[in-house]
Amino acid sequence: MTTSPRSGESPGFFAFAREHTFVTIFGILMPLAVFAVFVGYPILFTIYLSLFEWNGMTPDKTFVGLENYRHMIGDSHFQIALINNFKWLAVTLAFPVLAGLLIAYALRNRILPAAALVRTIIFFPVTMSLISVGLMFLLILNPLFGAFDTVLRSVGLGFLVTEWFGNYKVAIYTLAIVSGWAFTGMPMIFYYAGLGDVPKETFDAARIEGAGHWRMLTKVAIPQLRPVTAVVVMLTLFESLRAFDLVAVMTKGAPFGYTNVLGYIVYLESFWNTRFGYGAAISVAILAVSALMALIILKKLMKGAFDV
Amino acid sequence: MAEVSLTHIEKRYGAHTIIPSLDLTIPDGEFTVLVGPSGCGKSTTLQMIAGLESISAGRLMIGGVDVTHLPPKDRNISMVFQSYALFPHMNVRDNISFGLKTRRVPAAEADQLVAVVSKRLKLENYLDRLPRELSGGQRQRVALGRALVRRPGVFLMDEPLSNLDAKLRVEARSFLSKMHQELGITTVYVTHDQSEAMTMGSRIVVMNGGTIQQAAAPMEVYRRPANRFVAGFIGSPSMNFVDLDVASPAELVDATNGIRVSVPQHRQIELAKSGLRSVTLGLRPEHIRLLAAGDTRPGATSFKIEVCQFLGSETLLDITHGACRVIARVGPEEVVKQGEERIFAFDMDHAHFFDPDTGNNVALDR
Amino acid sequence: MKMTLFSRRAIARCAMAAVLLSSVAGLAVPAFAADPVELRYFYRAPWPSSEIYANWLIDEWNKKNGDRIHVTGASVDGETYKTKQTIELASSNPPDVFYSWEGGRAQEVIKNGFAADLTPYYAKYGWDKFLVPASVSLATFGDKKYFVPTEIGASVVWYRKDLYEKLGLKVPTTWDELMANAEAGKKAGLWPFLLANQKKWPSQFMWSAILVNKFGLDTYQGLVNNTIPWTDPSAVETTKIMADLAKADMFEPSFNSIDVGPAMVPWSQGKALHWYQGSFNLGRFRGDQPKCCVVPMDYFPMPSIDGKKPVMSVFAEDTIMIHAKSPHKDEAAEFVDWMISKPAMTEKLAIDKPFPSSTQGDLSSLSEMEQRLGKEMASAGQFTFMHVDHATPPAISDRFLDSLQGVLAGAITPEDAMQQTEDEAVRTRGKI
Ligand SMILES: Nc1ncnc2c1ncn2[C@@H]1O[C@H](COP(=O)(O)OP(=O)(O)OP(=O)(O)O)[C@@H](O)[C@H]1O
Ligand SMILES: [Mg+2]
Repeated sequence: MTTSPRSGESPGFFAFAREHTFVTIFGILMPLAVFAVFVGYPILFTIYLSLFEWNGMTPDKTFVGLENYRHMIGDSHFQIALINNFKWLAVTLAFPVLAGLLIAYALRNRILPAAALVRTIIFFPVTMSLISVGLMFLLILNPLFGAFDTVLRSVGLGFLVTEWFGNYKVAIYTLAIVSGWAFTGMPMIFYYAGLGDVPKETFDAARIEGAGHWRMLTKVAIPQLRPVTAVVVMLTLFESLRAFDLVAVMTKGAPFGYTNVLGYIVYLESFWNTRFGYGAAISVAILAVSALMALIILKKLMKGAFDV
Repeated sequence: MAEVSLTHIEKRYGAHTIIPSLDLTIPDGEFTVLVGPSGCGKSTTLQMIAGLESISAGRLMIGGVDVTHLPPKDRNISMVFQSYALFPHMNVRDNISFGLKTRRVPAAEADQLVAVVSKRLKLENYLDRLPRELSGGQRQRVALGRALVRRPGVFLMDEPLSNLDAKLRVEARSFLSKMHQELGITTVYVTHDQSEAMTMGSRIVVMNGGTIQQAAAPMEVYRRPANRFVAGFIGSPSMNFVDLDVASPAELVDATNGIRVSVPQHRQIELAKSGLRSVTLGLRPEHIRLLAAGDTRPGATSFKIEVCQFLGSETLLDITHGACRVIARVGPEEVVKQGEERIFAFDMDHAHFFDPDTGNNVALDR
Repeated sequence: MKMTLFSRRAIARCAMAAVLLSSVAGLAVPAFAADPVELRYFYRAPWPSSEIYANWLIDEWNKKNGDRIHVTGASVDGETYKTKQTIELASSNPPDVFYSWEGGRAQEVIKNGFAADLTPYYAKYGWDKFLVPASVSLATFGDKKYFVPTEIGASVVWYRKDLYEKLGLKVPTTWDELMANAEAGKKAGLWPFLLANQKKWPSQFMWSAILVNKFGLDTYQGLVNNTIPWTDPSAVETTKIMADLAKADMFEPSFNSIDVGPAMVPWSQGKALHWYQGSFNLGRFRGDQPKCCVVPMDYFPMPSIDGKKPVMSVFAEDTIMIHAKSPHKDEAAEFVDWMISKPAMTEKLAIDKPFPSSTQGDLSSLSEMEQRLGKEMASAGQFTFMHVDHATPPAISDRFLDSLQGVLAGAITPEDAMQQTEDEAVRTRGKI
């Protein structure tokens, strides 16, 4: 035998590297370096910055330890923003994901006509910048001459009309729903593709066995779409944690901070209030929340989703 | 139990007509096999009966009810798919009882029905397993169970055995036949495997290009094929076809290859009646006889053995005379060698005459 | 020995040649006109007209002086300027001339050492001779001047002249008369005051005007200059007055959902009687008319409360600084001098909006009402007060505006609102 004399023992990294230079350099070291530069470094720098007080202008920063975090815990605006992020997530999980699924299902089953057209229309807002979406809805939901209120009144739902942005109890939901409107195309495309991969015969079999659309959707489609749902939920989670553009263009946190979300608070604190350290601390909180949620989703919700 | 009748059924996809006009009545309790080459419209026909595909024109009756435009669930049918189409996330019990639940059968009754069916299908020990934890044969039985448990009026199967290996397939064939005998449910069974069709069906419907070529009992289709297509499709190896000129009703010749065939007295009338100048002679391999060396009876012709296939119970020979090439089936006791010249004769009592233009069997043409 | 001598002579000869050559070259430099000095001008463009005007300003300058001092502009829209400014000013290659705010924000920029002392240039160009005195007093911190105002503004009560006539109302001189007029408007089905508070800054205008006119300028200065806490009864009381106005339907419905731009629609339709806002809105009031305004309107200062003498808010709307690290301060000052020159100021009125910070600006193109207001501001010897978001650091003003909006929506009490503002202020400036 001419192979390693220490067979049975797993060879060390260096032995491996010597034997597979190409794989080591291009397959392991380069990706690691890229990861370190583009992901690792910014994260570490943010954590580092969060331990300082810094106004972004002076060259020197003041070390304050965990003071930023201590303040964050008592900061009512941070709390509102955090809760808003969860409300946002709940709305985006409920509305665009569900709507996307339903539309995809309807298109696949030819309940809706002109599939290609509908698909394009629903997907179109995804390609729009959130800035223009925001401006558009500012007009549509405007209490003075907005089209939405007029439509509601004309169909006899006038009692539902409220101050979509002014009422602090509904404003965050308005924003989340607008974001959902712009986002629906994304889950729809995912589910549309996913439904294409679900064997058509399982739907046929269910139909023959007497299942209506509701049962086919809940008992046949959704269980088989779990891997897609896993991806969609992840996407939605990150999308909702980044919720920023809409807040910035539509409300800027108004009324009185009730539409603040974490991403917007980071911006406010860092660039507006020139507290870069505190902004960094909130960024770290966002990071922690996303990581935690991703973990929960992976562990609980999606257990076994990718088993065949 | 129900009779299925298709009247002038038509299927179009846009400008493409897949099935121009189909008429077929399947009597109550009959096991009918739809057979034909790939793409001939078997599945489409079955799907139309099931209600999974719309019917472009015509009328479909099941059990005396016009179901042409009814949804699948109101047609009193059940179906087994080639891929089984089991619900991958449900265990065997839930798969089998799916249709009972949608039809709101009380739980106790449903359990009872599932128990009976799973016992019959030998699945009682697998009820809590997921489909992916079963073998191919077991999955196939689960699919059967799901279709059977409701006792449908009509049982539709689209190539249910083609995902099984050869041995399991033979077992499943006889199992299905037995089951049909016991339950007597009207069954429409699609296959493109003609031996499956021959062994299982009480009636075979041979299709090609969206039209029915012949619908008859298996032996009838084998013995009296309606046309050259059916003759060639049913039987393995396929029937031999030789184009010959009609010299006289008593004699057919192939001048270029030097083949002369004399027609026995009782078959001459058919030929004479048809008035054909040339004819396609159809002969199954077992009707080409190997003669002893030196046999000089009329019609005896010398052929060269190109290929021998020894199958144990029989031997298949590829033989040529000039440009004429046919397959002969001989008994296992015959001693033959590749490359030999031997003398063969056509058994004209079993020969079929087909019109070279229409392909129709001259004997059945009227 | 000989060698050394020779070399010494050679050196002398070389030196002479060098001197000669360099003197020739020195003469030649102006003739060749070496590369011009490059100046970067970083400005805030809150309106489309601001952009057009800035471009005109730069183009005209470059046409005349581009071979000597070439200016390149870079703009950011109104809202994001604050955030971009920090980054730009702290960068290694900062702009030479940049837009600044007066008040708290200016103080911060000065504190961080970004603003050049402009006192020598004021002396050199005699700027204080023709700039509106009130605005110059604003630019003075300690004994130094740090910015040059280019636009000044005032906040007043705009009112619909036609509606006043229709209802037979008189211009009020006391708070009670104003309230009576508002009541009359309400009875006639009008909105007494427009607030248009969606972006939360508009309500502070009325708030600070009420506070100044009820509790005096000193109290207000104490609040914004960190000598009086925000929980002071004066601030709470003022907030309460605002809340009561909201409760009494003195503002348009859904005032927290309507932005200033869209509010022009009901204003033009004659749905509202008054609007307390800054003069920078004159651009909007003018609309596409050559002269203000689209609808018949006029102004009066916020009347006094409790018999005090009324104080009108006069402030610098746009101000310009020169970066302390700029290598071309002299050239930058020359460019700034152009910005406040008579032709530039006159053009600003035509392209952009009032009011020029220079008394030399020709106001004759403006409407009678605007000219009247312009003169009133020019003659204001003293800067009076600026609104909270200009007077305090953004962290404090942002929290203040949030809280005020919350009070108006009935979500929090005036006490809580001022407590929250104070908490934030403590965090920024420490306890008083
Ligand atoms: N959706 C469709 N649109 C157009 N043509 C179709 C469609 N579905 C099937 N066809 C055509 O209809 C014909 C019949 O198809 P069908 O599936 O019934 O064949 P089959 O007899 O079941 O063949 P196989 O034995 O391969 O399953 C084929 O030529 C096929 O191309
Ligand atoms: Mg098929």
